[in-house]
Amino acid sequence: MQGFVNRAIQCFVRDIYGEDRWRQVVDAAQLGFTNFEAMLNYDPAVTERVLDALQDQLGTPRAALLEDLGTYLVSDRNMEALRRLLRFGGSDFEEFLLSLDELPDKARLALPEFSLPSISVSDIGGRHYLLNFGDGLPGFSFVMMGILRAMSDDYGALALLEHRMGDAGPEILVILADASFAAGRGFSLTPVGAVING
Amino acid sequence: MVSKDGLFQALDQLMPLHAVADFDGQIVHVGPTLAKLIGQRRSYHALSDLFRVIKPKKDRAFQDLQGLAGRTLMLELRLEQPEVLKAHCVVLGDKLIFALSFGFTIVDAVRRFGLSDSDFAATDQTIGMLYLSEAYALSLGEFRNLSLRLEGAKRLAEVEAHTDALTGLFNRRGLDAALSDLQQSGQEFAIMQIDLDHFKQVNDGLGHAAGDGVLTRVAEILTLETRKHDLVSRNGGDEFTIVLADVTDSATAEEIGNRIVERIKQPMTLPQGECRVSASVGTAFSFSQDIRDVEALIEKADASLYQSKSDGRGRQTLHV
Repeated sequence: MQGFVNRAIQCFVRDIYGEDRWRQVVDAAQLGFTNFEAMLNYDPAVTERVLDALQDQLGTPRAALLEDLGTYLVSDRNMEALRRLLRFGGSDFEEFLLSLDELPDKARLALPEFSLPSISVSDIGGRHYLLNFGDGLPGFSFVMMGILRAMSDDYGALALLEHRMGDAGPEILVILADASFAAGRGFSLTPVGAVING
Repeated sequence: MVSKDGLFQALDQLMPLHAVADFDGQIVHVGPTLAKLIGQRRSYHALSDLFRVIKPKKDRAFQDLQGLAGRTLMLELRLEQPEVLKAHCVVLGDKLIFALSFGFTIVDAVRRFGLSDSDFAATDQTIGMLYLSEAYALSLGEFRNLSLRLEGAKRLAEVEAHTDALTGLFNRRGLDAALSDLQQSGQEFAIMQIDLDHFKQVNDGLGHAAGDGVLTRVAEILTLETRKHDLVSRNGGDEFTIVLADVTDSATAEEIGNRIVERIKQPMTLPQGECRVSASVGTAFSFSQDIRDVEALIEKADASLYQSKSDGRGRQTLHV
């Protein structure tokens, strides 16, 4: 699980900021190796060190950094395979939103040791939806902000997102302003050479 | 009582891939997904125009249709490129309802017919199956990449374990591995032991960097003066071994040994100053031994090497 998270961060830095930046992050975080393996496990403290180093070097706050990571995971060409898996969530953005509580189970079905924090989705009326997150992966709600933003574009929906601290931890308020605002990106049920270019 | 149209509408939503026939085998309705599969232009009247029975019995005629009720069937859709569907038939009043689904060819079928999630029932797990097959392929790919990288790292580690870091020659471990391969191959070979003379003076007088420079230069000479399929190793310190392959007489080894002795004798100019060393060489041949024992051959070559040393250094001795 932690291997996937770390590998995703590495691909994000490499594709957005370049290979040199990744090497500087590796040095600053004192990893002792250059590449994370998605299928291996790592101490979560290693992830913290990498994010600290990245944050220092870019001068970007943690929340913004994680949100960019989430956007990257959906919208970058190298992550097309992941976008496809997310698009299986529903045929429009609202269906996708309402299917998010199944995301941890779906992830575990694909890989038994992949345990995402629980997500609860409530339709609070007036096209307002509230997402709450369980524990387990610090900063997960910020990554989800980026994922939601990119997925609403992907579906061609216009949605307003607000990240806030609720009584039970971080939550995201989604206001679906227009479900078919733009054309969105295409999706067919079978892939056309979709790969993760890791 | 529900109207016929009401029934068909409900069926279309509950199971878009279905057909309804009467007891004579005439089709009275097809679901929207089945319509998509067969194309609007195709005319169909009888079940047998549309389907061929595969199971329970191949080419069973569509008669005594009520006998099919309650059974799981395999029906082949008569298209230019046929598609086999799983079917379940139930009787409702004077109608037969055939609920249909794709088998494990689902991924190909979705691509072939351009199906989307609206072509499946809301409770149908087909979409979930497609998701899983993609997720599975993805993680399998990651595992495959991981094992390729591990395999590469393992090979690199093996090469490193057999290589002398300073000179890039084989090390003692590499030599041992090569010798044991050679012993099993049964071919004739020669072992040439080489020891530098006056090397300690270089280290003491000009420092270890100069010593390393001499060793590197010697390694270059040994590599240049041997043939491509010979093996050169540094066994530690100033001791080298050459395994000469395919040697059935002493002439080749003698010539190579002479050139090595001559070239190493030449003064070497290093950043730290000029060095003079020489090489004592002793060679033994497998063809002159009754037993093909590598250990014994090395001992013979060592004895020849000591002979060269005691004869005044900077020379070679052949044990023939």
